[in-house]
Amino acid sequence: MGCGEGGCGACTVLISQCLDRHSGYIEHRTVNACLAPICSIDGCHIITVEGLGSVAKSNLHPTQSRLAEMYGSQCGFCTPGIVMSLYGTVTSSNHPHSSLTIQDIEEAFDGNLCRCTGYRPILDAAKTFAKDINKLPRYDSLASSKPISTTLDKCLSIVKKIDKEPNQIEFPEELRQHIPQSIHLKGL
Amino acid sequence: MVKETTQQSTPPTIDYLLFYVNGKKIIEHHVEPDWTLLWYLRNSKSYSIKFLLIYISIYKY
Repeated sequence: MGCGEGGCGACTVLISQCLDRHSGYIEHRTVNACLAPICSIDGCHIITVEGLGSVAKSNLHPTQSRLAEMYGSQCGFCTPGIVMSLYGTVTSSNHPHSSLTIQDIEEAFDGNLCRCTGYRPILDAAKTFAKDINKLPRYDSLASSKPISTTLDKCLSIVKKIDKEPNQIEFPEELRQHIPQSIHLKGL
Repeated sequence: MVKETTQQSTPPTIDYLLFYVNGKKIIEHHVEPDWTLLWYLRNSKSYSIKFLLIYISIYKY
């Protein structure tokens, strides 16, 4: 899927790894699957876009449903990658003290290309996950009534909606205790 | 002359990769080191079926 050379980001997957067995700290990274060597993922939990949620199981993750509601799925080529990048960012900031900013979210999409040239709806949907979206100024200046963003109201209305808690795949207990060993692979 | 007292012992090695994909445990013994994760996911049996079906339906169409 995708370009196979790390250009488009359509094959983005989420790699979770328990870095500290004592504190149980889990690091989430989103990588291009086409660039990650298979040997680098020993002891990791990989979540592909197939494992995230689907309409068939009526189990859409908020990242997916918001992207759809904000018209962010266009031709659909980049959508899986965008969803995974966003999911990774949202997951790694999924704690009470998180301060996920709009800036952070914009930077999360560095590796994803949209060839429909329609980043606006995608980023609008993504920014609804930012904690500082309410701080955005509404108008150019105090005097002018020209709104800066024509879609901000829609973003804010989606932020207020409470998402249904999706069934997420938990980090496997076994990998919390995983001790990496030296691996000797013979190949096929 | 230095007498060798420590015994040469090879560290324990394993010959498989252990990881989870979408919550499912996978122990993979036959892995080529030059595979990428994408290549593996697309070609492993459990994950390629879906794409094979899509491919067949497109082909028939």
